[in-house]
Amino acid sequence: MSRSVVECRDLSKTFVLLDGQSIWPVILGGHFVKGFPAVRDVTLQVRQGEFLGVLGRNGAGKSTLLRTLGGVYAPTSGTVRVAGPLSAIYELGMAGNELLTGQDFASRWLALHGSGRRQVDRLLSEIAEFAELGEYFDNPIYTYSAGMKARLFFSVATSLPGQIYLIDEVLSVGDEHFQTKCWRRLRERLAAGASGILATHDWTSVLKLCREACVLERGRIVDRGSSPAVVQRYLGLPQPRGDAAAFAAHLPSAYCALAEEDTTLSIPIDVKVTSPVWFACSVESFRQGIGWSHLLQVEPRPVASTPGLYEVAVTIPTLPLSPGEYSLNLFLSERGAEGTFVPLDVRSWTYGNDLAFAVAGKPRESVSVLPLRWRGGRTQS
Amino acid sequence: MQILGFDRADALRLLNFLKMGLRDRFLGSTLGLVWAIVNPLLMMGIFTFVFAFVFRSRLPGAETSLSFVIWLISGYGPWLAISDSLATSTGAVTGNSGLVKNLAFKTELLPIAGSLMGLVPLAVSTCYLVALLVLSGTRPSLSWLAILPVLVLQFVFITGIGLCLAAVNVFVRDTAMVLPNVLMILLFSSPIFYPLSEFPKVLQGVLQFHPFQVIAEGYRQPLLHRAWPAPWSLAYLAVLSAMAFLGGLVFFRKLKGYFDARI
Repeated sequence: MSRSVVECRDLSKTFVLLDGQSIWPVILGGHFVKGFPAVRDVTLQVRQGEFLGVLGRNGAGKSTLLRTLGGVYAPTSGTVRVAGPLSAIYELGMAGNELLTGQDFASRWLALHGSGRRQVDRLLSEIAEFAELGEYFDNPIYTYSAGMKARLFFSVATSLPGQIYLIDEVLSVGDEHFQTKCWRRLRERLAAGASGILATHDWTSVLKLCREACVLERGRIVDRGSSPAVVQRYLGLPQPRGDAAAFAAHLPSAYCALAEEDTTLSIPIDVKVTSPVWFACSVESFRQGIGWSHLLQVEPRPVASTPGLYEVAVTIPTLPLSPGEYSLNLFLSERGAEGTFVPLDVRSWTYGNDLAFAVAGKPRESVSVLPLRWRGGRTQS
Repeated sequence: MQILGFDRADALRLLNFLKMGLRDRFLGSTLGLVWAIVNPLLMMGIFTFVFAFVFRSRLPGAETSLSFVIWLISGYGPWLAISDSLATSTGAVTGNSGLVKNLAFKTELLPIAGSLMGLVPLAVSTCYLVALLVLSGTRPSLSWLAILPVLVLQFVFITGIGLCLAAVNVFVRDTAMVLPNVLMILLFSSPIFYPLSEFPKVLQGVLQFHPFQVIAEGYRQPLLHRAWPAPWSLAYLAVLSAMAFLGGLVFFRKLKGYFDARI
């Protein structure tokens, strides 16, 4: 059991709005002022090497929770324990004078976070390079565009090689190219043993980065568990019943195939009803920092309408996928009202139970391989 | 090692805030930090001109205006430092809301750093004063170092008041706005432009215990009369400063938990 790096017990944070009149009772010892409870009785634990996802809508209290864990706010009640220095990205804010140059901002930020002179000098060139600001690094920040400010801030905030991270939404900024860089940097940190908390409303990041997650609603934790399960409940996806028809118990958890070869996937299903059961499947791929892409899809077709065990064979001639790891998603459904499909059993990444689909062969740059046939010859001249 | 709840990391952070404060004040200007010296010098140059050549003021029983100017600057220099310290520390928390909301640190350090920024006008005015003294024929003497304890006590005292004002200003923003006027009143009610002997006899008894009078005399005795400040005045100032600093610190710490909703 690895040690816990961030831990809080019954943590509460209430914002009290004081004005000129009401400070005096507080100073003289009373605490009779009503407040807004932003975080209520939160108990969390994050273990070394893991990231905990905190999901919630706007106003749920994620930012307040993170800042309270990070020590920016003092808790109203409860305890916080952090096993070491934190790297916290609370908001995409250039908290400082806009007359500073990019370089000055970086030095100042690093100095405020405890870096000595030598470390600052060493990190500055790294920051400049990562942020891709070129000569703008020596210009005042008021000359930057919003994107440049975001890149500078992200570059500075993730430059210190920290171990415990508290990240508030800002997982990556900028265009796709820069986002990939951000993700790569985060993965490097993860490989070096970083842990922390990611507070966001973006459930795809949580699915990718966090094994465990919890949901914050109006300051309280209302759900916790493994990320895919929590996300599924958070999104309110209808739970498939699984009693009318289901994938057989001996359904493999992984399939393999060879690129550009004729492939047949054999999927056992167990039907228990006498109404038509429809089958659909898709092959998807997740790319870090980009998201899920639909690559191959089989539209729903009826496969059975009497109880029994069946083998659904999906044949793909000349599998047009490049070698790699993909996600195989299977859907059993029945027709519902007005042509909709009601899911009966699902194996999908959206539920966290998708199947692995490994394609072997000669490595290629592209995602798919087009099944071309060509023939050389002379044209009529 | 902890003193009054501050440790070594806090001391380093305080130094950082000081550097930041000085940098930011003149950021963007061409001359930059040079203004920190030029501004007070200009002010005192104007006073010198006005009082020595226009009004031609004299101290009771004195021969030249230069001695009056020296007497004036020895009181006005510390005053400049005091009003700079108070103005900066009052706005120290509200003006740095970005830092307070995103960095975990002891917020008390901001007004303390703001108060210490007054060291710059103090240093400039002391150098100007020394130059005038040399000009008037006074030899430099070791007794001049006697201003050091007064200097330290002055800053301790003003930091305590600054902490109070900084905390109150978060909730009652008018504080920072009314401060310049209050300081002006205090300036003219202190024996800085006119000696204590010019005040009505009734007030003299009370005013000799006025903290700014005690501080000003603490500078004048060593620099002008080569004497140590009266022991009772040092003791009085020490007690006052300790009370102000501790009181201000406790006051600030009590209120700082409530800053979150107002910044």
